[in-house]
Amino acid sequence: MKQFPDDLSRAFGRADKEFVYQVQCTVKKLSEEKRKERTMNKKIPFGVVLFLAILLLAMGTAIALTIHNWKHIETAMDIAVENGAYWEWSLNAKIRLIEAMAEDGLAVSEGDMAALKGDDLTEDEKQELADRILTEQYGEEHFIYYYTIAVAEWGEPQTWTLEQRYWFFKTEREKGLYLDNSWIDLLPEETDLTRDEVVRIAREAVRSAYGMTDEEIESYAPNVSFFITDVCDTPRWMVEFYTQGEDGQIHGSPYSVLLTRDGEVTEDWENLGVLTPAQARLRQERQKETAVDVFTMRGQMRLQDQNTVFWNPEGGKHYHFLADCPMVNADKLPLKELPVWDAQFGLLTPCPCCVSLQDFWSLKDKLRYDVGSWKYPGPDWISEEEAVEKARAALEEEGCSPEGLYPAVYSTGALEEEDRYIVYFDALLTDPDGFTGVDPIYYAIVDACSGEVVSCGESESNG
Amino acid sequence: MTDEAFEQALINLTETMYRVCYAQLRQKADREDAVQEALKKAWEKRRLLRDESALKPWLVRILINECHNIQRKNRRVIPTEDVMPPPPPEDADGVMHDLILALPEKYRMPVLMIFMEGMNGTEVARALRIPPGTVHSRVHKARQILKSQWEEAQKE
Repeated sequence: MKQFPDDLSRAFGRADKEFVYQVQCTVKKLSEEKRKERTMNKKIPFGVVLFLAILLLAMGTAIALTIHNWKHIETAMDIAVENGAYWEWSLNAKIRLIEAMAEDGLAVSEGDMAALKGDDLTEDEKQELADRILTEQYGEEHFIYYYTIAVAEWGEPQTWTLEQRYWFFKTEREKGLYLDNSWIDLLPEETDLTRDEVVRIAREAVRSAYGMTDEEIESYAPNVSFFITDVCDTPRWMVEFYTQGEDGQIHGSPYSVLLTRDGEVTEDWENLGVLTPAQARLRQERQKETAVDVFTMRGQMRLQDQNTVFWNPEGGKHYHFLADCPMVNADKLPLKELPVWDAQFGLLTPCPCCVSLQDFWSLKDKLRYDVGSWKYPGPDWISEEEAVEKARAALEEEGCSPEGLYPAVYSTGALEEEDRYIVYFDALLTDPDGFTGVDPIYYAIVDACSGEVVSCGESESNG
Repeated sequence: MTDEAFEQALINLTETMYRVCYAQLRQKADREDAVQEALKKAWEKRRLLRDESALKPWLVRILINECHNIQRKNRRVIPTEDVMPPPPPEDADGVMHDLILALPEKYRMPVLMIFMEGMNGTEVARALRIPPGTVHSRVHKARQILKSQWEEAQKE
């Protein structure tokens, strides 16, 4: 009898060609996107660097005193330099961070601090305690690093003050954690405009350019930068307007204003290496699209084909592919059409139901956007709508009521002999945060040509 | 770690990513989706890493999360008869392939990481977020199960 093998590495064979190709293409695409973000390669003149170095050094200490709770952020940066990622942190590094958090007034119990520094716990126990303190504060371990710590303390960078921006990015560069010099945040001098003045000018510029009311423009928050770039060493102001949801998530807008140091609105976008408003809007759309999970890759493909989407003008936050999206209350249906080039579209986020998921797309749309390998409806097939009605009627005869459920239409696999529709009736799953997914409750298999219901009943889940 | 080094390190881990996905997801398209999303997330957070040796358990953790996301979304069963899982790849060890995939996940993943990926107990503990002692006991138990079933299969 053969010996039980010690080497199991061949149990699954080697990666198939498509998988290898997927990895290589994805990595290549990600690195190409990064290279496109900053296309400038001109260095800042040495004289400017020297001037800035002196200026920054003088201002550094004063600035640290005007921003709050920076010590633990800087400690986290130091730890990142010394140790790298969280799971490489020594126990001492974690204790250092926790001490810095306590110094900055973050809630760390005296009992926990004493336990970490005392002799009663073993090293493993101290590790566990330190991990608990830090993950309770900052979430999952592999996302704990200085940037997320700064966001936890100060909020998203769009909300940071000029002082916070200046200190954070300067410190990051000084410690060698970020080496890109294409954009450098500065602090205005006493003779420069104040932030409030700049925001006032920018709001007026957007208001008059877009014909907005005061109320409309003031519904946006301003993200203000005072900066130079590696292609233009004259300080300028940028104001980008955004909204922030109740969950804290930042939503960009197409409204950005570039101003000279003296507060004059300028269109000199090219020399600043900054995106034009049209480019900014396109980038915002791409960021919005890539912010959703992998299943909306297909949503992105579909979006490129569509000139219109659907929305609820009475306070709807999402754009939809379906005029009768199941996630929308029935009294708001049917949804209204919205051209994708309308400014309003830029303010909407993808519907987590009919954009992120493809369950409720028509079978033809599922096949068109490569959702799965099913049979394409033939010329002698009944329509999907008829299949749904046949399915519904058959289930009701069986005593299964699909009322309140939503039909999702599929067909048999592309390599199978029978031409059949498979109709599921799905319930929507929600949690306190909103829509989370679908659960197939009933199914029916319908002969695609005759319309005869072959079988139907309760659907089983994979569990 | 430079971006170029990071890119190459990700590509060098193609076989690891394949095995982790294979242990979790039966369908090829699902494995491709999982790895694509995991790579995107790993790329976004790449600044965390300073040396290549730390990448593997970190990437495995992200990939396992993505596989779990897809498993949750795949709650549909097409109720036709005899829906068979895909056959093992031609170059796979057929017997061991089936035995490992039949293990419950809590045993399957430590076995994969220790015996296929050559990770140590600490790395596995970090990737799976379980204590190192638990890693060792699960590996021990999994090996007992595999060995017993493998010997049964040899007798047939």
